[in-house]
Order: sequence, then structure tokens, then C-alpha cells
Amino acid sequence: MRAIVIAAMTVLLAACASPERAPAEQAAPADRSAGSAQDQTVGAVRAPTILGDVPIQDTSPEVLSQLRSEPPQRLTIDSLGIDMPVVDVGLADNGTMEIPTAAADAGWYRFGPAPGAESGNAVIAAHVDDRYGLGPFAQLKDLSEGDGIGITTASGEDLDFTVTRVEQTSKREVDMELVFDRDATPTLVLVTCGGRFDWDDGHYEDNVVVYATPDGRTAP
Amino acid sequence: MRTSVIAGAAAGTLLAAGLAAPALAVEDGMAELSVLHGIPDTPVDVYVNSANTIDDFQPGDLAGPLDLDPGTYTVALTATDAADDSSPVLGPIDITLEEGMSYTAVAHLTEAGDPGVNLFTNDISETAAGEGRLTVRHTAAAPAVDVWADGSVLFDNLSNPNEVMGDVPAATYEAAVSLTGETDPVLGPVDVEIADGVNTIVYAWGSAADDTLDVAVQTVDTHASSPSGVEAGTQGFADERGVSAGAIAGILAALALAIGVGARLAVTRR
Repeated sequence: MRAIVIAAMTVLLAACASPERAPAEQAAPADRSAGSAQDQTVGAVRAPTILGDVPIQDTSPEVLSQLRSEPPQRLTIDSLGIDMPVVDVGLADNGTMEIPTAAADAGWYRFGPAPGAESGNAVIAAHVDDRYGLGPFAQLKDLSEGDGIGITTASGEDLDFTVTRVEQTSKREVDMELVFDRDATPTLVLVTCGGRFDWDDGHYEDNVVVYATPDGRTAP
Repeated sequence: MRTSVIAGAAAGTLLAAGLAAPALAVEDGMAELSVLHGIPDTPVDVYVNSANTIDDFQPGDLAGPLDLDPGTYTVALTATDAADDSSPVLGPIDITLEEGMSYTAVAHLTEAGDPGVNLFTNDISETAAGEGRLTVRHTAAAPAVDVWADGSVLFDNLSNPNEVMGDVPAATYEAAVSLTGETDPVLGPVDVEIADGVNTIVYAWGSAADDTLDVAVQTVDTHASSPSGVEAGTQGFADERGVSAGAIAGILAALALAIGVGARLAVTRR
């Protein structure tokens, strides 16, 4: 969410900036003797080379709050016959991502970007199964590159995504920093479990992860 | 390493750490500087090392972030129609920026109402998953204040030109500022979102005597933490090997429970 605030604010308010703002000039290196600088100079003193306009932002809390993304409320995957609700989730007590108890419900990691944000991975996960059997996300590994995924936000907006990658990886090797990356090009990431089930521990060995790009953008 | 690419290009993005670059809060080898104009009624030009860097800078606006080489810079504020920085209205002052650090230079009034410039360092150290950082800076011509969140005092007796900070659960809080020991707000209440992995910096600026007190909010990325994993399955129905003989008892137990509560059970054998 932070990402959309900073990026959108810069774009939005640059458009509102005074048209008289002159572009920052690129100055010749300053000729200053070391004697005029403080004793604790870290590096060489020289003029900053600032190319183009310096971004200027409004700082009112009301403006910031208006630029937050809407959370997702519905997830549809027509090719798999999936149409399921999405709720906000956070962290479980053990530091893993909180997952809705029922496999029929998907959870969006609310501490990261939302689908539709300007940057970063919007992560949605669901249990592959629950006490009643397989859930919709058990079918994620049947997705193909090019399949469509739809998200409906809390404000009723429909967002479309196209699958670029489906991977299944041992949990010992999954890099969570990458799955939850906030700075990469905006991506919808669906996560569940798969592979062999460890009957002693009650866990699956692998994560199944689907990456999908917003329609209208090129895949990385 | 066992990654199966089921569909799409083999990007191998799920391979173990060592290939992943951590998200950088500040550009490699650089320092980050933002500038806040907290002096009411006085648009200025901001000169850095004698170059006009921010033109016609308005009170309440935040310029940047700028990625700058580490070093010492001379900053001066002039009238907006000044030809150069030979007769500044504020400064020149030298500020030293160190590599990997994030700073905000604030032009603001002292408690007595005199204009000055202060360099604050923004704490971008790692925040835990699910937490954000709140920083509050008293840069107003006003006495010491208490900072309230959701109806309780979070920080007390904060005076100009000091700051306080703490990591809190990521959420939207109703924030307010009162004079120390009082309960009526002089600023707010206003909703402020403290986002995960972000240092949300709230400034009180302006002048109490001139009735120009205001709140400014700046957000700076910290080194954020991710969840440690995604544990999304507990029953074994999707086991790739199929249901082993040793697990039949577990299945039957689940079956008995499910039938007991009148639920339908779907078992898929692979």
C-alpha cells in the first residue's frame, strides 16, 4: 500500500504542481576549500547532479488516505470454475501467513500490496484442503500460461490478470522475500500447498505458486 | 533443489536465497534526502551547494526523496525571486549525509517562533512482519505536547525540536496532539495509517500563536520483513503419492468426525 501512496502521490501532485516550477539546474562542481566544511566530512564536497524535476508532495494526512488501494473481495478463475470470496488476513502466531480455515475461502495478505497497486506482489493464499476434502486451490497446478484470473475489489472494480508462471517448490527452498516482494513490477501471486504430504507433521512438502500479470502490462 | 515448472518460463524465482536481492530502502552507495518546508506563509527557493534545487517551495510541501552521493552539502533558503543564494533568508547551513541513510531536512520555527533548519535521520532499520514504525517530530512554535493514538497517550512531553518513535502493529490509528497534560487536541484527531514496512513520520508544524498549527505526514520505506512461510494444507487429500495405507486410519477418523457433523466429504485418490 505504501507503494501506491508514494508513486501515485508523486504522479498526482506533480500534475497539480505550479506550471511555473523551473527544472532544477545542473550546477558546475562547486569549488569549496576543505577548511569551510565541517571536520567530520564524509566524502568529497560537490554539487548534486539532480536531473529533471525534484518530486514535490503534499503532506496532508487526508490526501495520503485517499490514495490507498481497495482490498480484493472476490477471486474468479473461469478455466477452473473457481469463484471464491477473499478476506483480509495477516500473520499467524508462528509468523507464517494467516490462512482462512475453510479451503473455500481465500486470504489476501493485508500487510502487502493489493491487486491493482502500483508495485509489488499482491499475495492471495488458500488451503489446498480442509477436513471436508480438496479446496478450489488444489486445481492451481492445472493452470496454464495465458489463463485468466479475475479480482473484484471492495469498491466493485474488476481487475484482470494473465498467468505467466506456475511453480511447485519444496518449502525448504521457497524464498519468501521473493514471494512477498513489494518493489517488483505489480504481480498477483496465488499460493497454496502441494506435493507429498508428511503424515507425521501434518504438512505438505511443497508450495504451489502462480504468478499473474495485470492485463495491460507486459510480463517481466 | 526441487522446483517443478508446471507452466510458463523457467524463471527459478523460488530457488533458495543467495539469488534474491533484498529490497533496498536506500539506493546502493547513496544517501536519501527529503526536505520539508514547515515555515508558514513563506515560499522559498532552496539552494544546495549554490544551485537552485527546489524552486518556489511552498509551506507544507515535501521535496524528494533525492538520491545523493554521501558527503556534506551547504543548504540555503532564499526569497522566491532571488537571483542566487548570496542573501539567504535562512542559512547557509552544512548538512552531512552518510551512505545508506535516509534524512529529512526540515525548515521550521523554534518554540519561540524563530525560523531555522534541522536535519533529522529517518530510522529505516528492519521492522517485524505486521508492524510499522511511527515517528513524531515537534517542529512547531508551540509548547511541549502529548501524542495520542486511539484515545490514549502514546508519547508524552515532546518538545521542539525533538522526535519520538516506536514500532506498532500495522493499522490505521486515530491520531491527535494535545499540549502536555491536557486532553483537548490542538491537532487532529485525524486518521493516520501505519503501514507494514513503512516509517510514517508525523510532523507538528506552524505556529500556535498565529493559529497556523498543522500536521504533515511523510512515509519512508524501512527494511521490511515477510511472513516466514505459507502453510496452506493440513489434511493430506492432495498428497501427490495418493493416500498411503498408513494414513487410512487418519482418513477414517476424519470421516467419522465429518459424518458426525453432517458434512459432505470429498476424497480424491491420485
